[in-house]
Amino acid sequence: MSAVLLPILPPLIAALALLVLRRGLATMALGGATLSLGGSLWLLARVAGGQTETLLLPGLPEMPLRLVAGPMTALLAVAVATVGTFVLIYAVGYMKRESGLCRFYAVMSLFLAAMQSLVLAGDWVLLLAVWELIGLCSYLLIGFWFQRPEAADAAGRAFLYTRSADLGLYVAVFMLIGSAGTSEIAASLEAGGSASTAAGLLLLLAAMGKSAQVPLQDWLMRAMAGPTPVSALLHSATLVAAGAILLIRSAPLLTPEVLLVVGLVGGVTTVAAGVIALAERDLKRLLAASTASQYGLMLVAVGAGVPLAALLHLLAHAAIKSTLFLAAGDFQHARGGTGFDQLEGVGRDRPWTFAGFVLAALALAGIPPLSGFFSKDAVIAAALSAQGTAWLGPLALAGALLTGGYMARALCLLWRGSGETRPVAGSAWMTLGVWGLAVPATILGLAFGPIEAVLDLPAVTAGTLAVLLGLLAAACGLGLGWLVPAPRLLGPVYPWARRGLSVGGGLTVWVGRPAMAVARGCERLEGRLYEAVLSLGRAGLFLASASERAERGLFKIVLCVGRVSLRVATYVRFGDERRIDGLIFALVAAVRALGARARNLQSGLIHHSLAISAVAIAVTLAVLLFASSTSF
Amino acid sequence: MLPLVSLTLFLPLVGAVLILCLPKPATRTVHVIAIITAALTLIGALSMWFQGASGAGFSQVEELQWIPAIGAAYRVGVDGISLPLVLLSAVLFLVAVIYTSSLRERPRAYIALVLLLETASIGTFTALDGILFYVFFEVSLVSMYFMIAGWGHEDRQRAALMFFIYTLLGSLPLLLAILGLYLGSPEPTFDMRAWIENPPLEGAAAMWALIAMLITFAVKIPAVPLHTWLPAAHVQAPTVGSVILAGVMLKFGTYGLVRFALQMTPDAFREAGVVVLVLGVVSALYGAFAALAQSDLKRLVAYTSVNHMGYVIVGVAVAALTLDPSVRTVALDGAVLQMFSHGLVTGALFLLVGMIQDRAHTREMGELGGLLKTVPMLGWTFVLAAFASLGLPGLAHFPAEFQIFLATLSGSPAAVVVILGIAIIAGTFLKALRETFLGEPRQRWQSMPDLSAREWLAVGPLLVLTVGTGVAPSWVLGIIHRTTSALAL
Amino acid sequence: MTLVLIVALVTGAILCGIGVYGALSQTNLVMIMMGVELILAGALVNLVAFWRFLHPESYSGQMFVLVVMTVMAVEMAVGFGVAIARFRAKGSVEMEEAGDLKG
Repeated sequence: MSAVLLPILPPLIAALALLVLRRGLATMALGGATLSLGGSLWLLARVAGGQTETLLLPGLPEMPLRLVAGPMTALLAVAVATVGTFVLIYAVGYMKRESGLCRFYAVMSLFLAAMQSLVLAGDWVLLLAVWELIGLCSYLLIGFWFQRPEAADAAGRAFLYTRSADLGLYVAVFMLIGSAGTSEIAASLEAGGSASTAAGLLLLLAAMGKSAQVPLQDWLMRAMAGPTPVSALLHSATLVAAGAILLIRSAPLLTPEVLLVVGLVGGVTTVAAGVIALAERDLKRLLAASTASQYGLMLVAVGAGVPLAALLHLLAHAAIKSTLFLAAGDFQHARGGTGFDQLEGVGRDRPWTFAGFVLAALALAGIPPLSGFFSKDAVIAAALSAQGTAWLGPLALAGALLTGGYMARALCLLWRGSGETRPVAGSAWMTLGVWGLAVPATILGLAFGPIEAVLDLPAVTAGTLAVLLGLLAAACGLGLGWLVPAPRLLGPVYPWARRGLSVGGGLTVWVGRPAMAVARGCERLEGRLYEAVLSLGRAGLFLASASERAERGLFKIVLCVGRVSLRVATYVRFGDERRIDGLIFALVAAVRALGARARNLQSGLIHHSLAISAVAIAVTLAVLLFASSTSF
Repeated sequence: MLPLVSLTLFLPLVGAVLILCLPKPATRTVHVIAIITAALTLIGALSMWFQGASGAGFSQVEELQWIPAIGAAYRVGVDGISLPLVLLSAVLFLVAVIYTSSLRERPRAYIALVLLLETASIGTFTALDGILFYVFFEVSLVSMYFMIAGWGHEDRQRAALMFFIYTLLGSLPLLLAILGLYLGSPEPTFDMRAWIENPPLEGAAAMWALIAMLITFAVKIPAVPLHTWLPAAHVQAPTVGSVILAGVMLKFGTYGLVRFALQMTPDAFREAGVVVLVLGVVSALYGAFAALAQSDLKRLVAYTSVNHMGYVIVGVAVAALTLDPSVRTVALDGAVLQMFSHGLVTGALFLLVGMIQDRAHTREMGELGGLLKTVPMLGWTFVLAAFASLGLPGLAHFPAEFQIFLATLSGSPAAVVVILGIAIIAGTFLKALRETFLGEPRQRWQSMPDLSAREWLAVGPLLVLTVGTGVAPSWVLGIIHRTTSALAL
Repeated sequence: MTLVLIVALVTGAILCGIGVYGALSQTNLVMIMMGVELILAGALVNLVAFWRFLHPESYSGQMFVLVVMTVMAVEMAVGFGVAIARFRAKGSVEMEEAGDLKG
């Protein structure tokens, strides 16, 4: 068995075993995740030197499925497995009192397996397949409490948004396979060609859907209706990360025009989502908006042509954001909700969790020496150094500023004030989960050096200017967020930001309603078509009945004719002898009369005979003469 | 050497005759005989499957004199295109008789009709003689008509009328086309192999034959705008009728499209390919949108069939249009696999809708709701089937649609707009799931029972095959691919 | 010569005409038979004239004349036989009274 399967198989087997056996739930899921972590670490160790591990699996004819582990993919696999493991550890405590745990752990394990496959996928078919599968997993997990209408809605919305955007991935994949003649990712990325701009834009569309970039950010905030461990997993290392991972991996393909658009989308998103986060009144929704904002930053890095910076930020963000979410889940347990009005002062009640939260928040804001500082610096440096796109730098800095602002605001709201804490004891599992991720969030920055060395990607060394600007932005943001309330900070934008910066009602109005309108139009047309065919049928029936009437008439006529002939027949039969004999007798009489008349000629007188002879001869003569005179 | 094909073909008929001959059999006996017959047929189909099909031409051919004077004979055989459909039919009919084993209302006639239909279906897929094909094609219509008219729901007369109109419209052109092919062949024969080997018609004659076939098959598939009989028939048909109608009988149309239109008039098809392609794209998108607007669960599933069969038309049209053999192979692989997958998935969906209807006596999504909590097993199987139908990877439709779209983009890039259909269908099913299964469970359905053993036996095999085909499509695709890659057009 | 033929033919025609008149106008059987003889005589004159002026070399004309004269003689014999028998039976040869052959 190839080492490539090691990160994938354990969670997959765990998921299947959970569905079949329905016992030992947490143990099995945790075991799967831990083994996956071990497997991916081992895999990373094997490929760290720059080799690749490949495994071919039977797939479509002439398009086998490939799993390829290179340094980057192995690294990502480690990140996914780490986050997954700790989230599952946390979930043991968080989900203790829920029912339907079998489903929860099974889908979580499946999710992990799918994400590992996505990371390690070496061909487009497999990538596309697991890309959609993680969509399914997130649907099932966001809709875990499917009895709640908002969870059911959110699940459907998340799936539909990402699925619609996935059409971009579908078409891009077809174009790449078509132009490269193979479904292998590495080969088709090198092939490039004329289609690569279009393919790149389509890939971007898919990534925008998954990574919740403007204007497809709406579903991410609503997805908070799911359980918190699910949010942590979705936002840090799986569903949402998939979009950024896709762009990072396909970076060699992206042409300058595409990079421009990528940078633009990322820049706009990081600012817009930052503003939304700043205006948010719910901790989890704030974190969700922050996720979109941070992925915007990664897209900025990709757009600036430095995917390495995006990758580093992805790794750091994975650790940071999962810590934040897990901590938020703990607060949620303490207060029975995630609204800031409920959460006031919760930091004092849960000091250990809050400490983890603070560390992660500062890391996200970019305070040295925490991990976020290094990754964000890399992004800002990349943005500042980008050729010909001077606006990328300011956008990235604005994103960093906003990050500081909303994190400080969250910290402020969580620390100040006081609220009623429910008598629910924190769980050791949950604290372990938070700290298990808070530690990498803190120290991951130190590992960036070796990681860069392993990855062998072009890097931009952060100049002093970038470091200073980044620090300044973070400090300003933190200060402003702590001191100035959000409504005043945002001014007139605040009400709009509260509505999620939606333009004219958002995608629901712009896409959903027209689609439904078309559907209803089709339905009306359908009704008409149906009626038309039915009336055709009625006409046929009418014709049939008319022809039946005609038939009946014809039948009557035939009957009539029959009767008449029958009558004739009986008539004839009854008067048979009389009639026919009479006829014969009449004939005889006529013949006799004729004979009697002819007898008159026969007078017996010789003169008569002679006279007749003479006349006859005269007539004959005349005829002969006449004939001869005309013929000659 | 056993004549496997003929045995498989006529076993159900024997079963039907047996059931009709028994003097006053108990209902139970009837069902047991039906299940045994269908199971034996499945075994027959499986042994045919393991015999396999060689790449080019037909395998397992059996031939008998029939009407030598006009060159018609009893000829049956399979290739990689028909073999999956034979297997699909055998599976679906077994599932159908298992599901129907709770029927108490005139079971004898019903079961006999189902078994007759099975013979007709397998016969349609295996026939290698024009006349024989037509006979089976027509017999299936008759038995389906009686199933709908005799055991349908509230408004069955109307549906039966609809069915009747289209049947009338649809069958005659095919007969004309078959006669045209017969008269056009150098030595008059009804042997379809000869027709495929040397397409007998060319020029305008071929075009007219193609048009005639397209009319028949477009009604059968059904393609917009000749599809209106489908929702009507489905809504009124009994559950098993729907399963067979959607699962097996719609494939007659697409199978005919490949076997007759594509293989016997290839040049004409290439000329008219764009029209067919547009027809397919319109069907797929129209079906998807119409499905989105439905509030009746069964109508919804019926319209998704229009959508899915639209993809098949697109695949076949792309195969006809393209000059690149590798693209053609991919397109046909996708189209044939799509037929197979659609049979499994839609069969399962119709069974599940039937189960819901049995329990709730309504199919209106607005009246249902929260069923996932009330009947979790039924709910989750429906979720699985729904996601399979919307083309989720790992389930049966994905590899098929992937190949169709891939070939479409390579062959006729503009037609790739059809891919919007998968987003719309996703919306359709998400809406249906949301309204029917998610949300608060309702008091009204509290006492609804979950799946019984009989229902599990009916729907289980289909779901297993759906997952199996999705995860490892090569077990079906292998046999399809061997034929499609050897196809010379 | 042609003139002579015409004279002969006219003579024959006159004889025939007198004969027809006699046969039709007389009521006595003997007289009727005489009329008939005159008709035949006209025919004989014609025959002889045609033979003499048109085909003098052929003998068939003469032979035909002899046959006709023989037939005339035989006919006369039969006719007088009938007349005698009639006279003996009825005492008269007036043909106006003889309607016995009426059918």
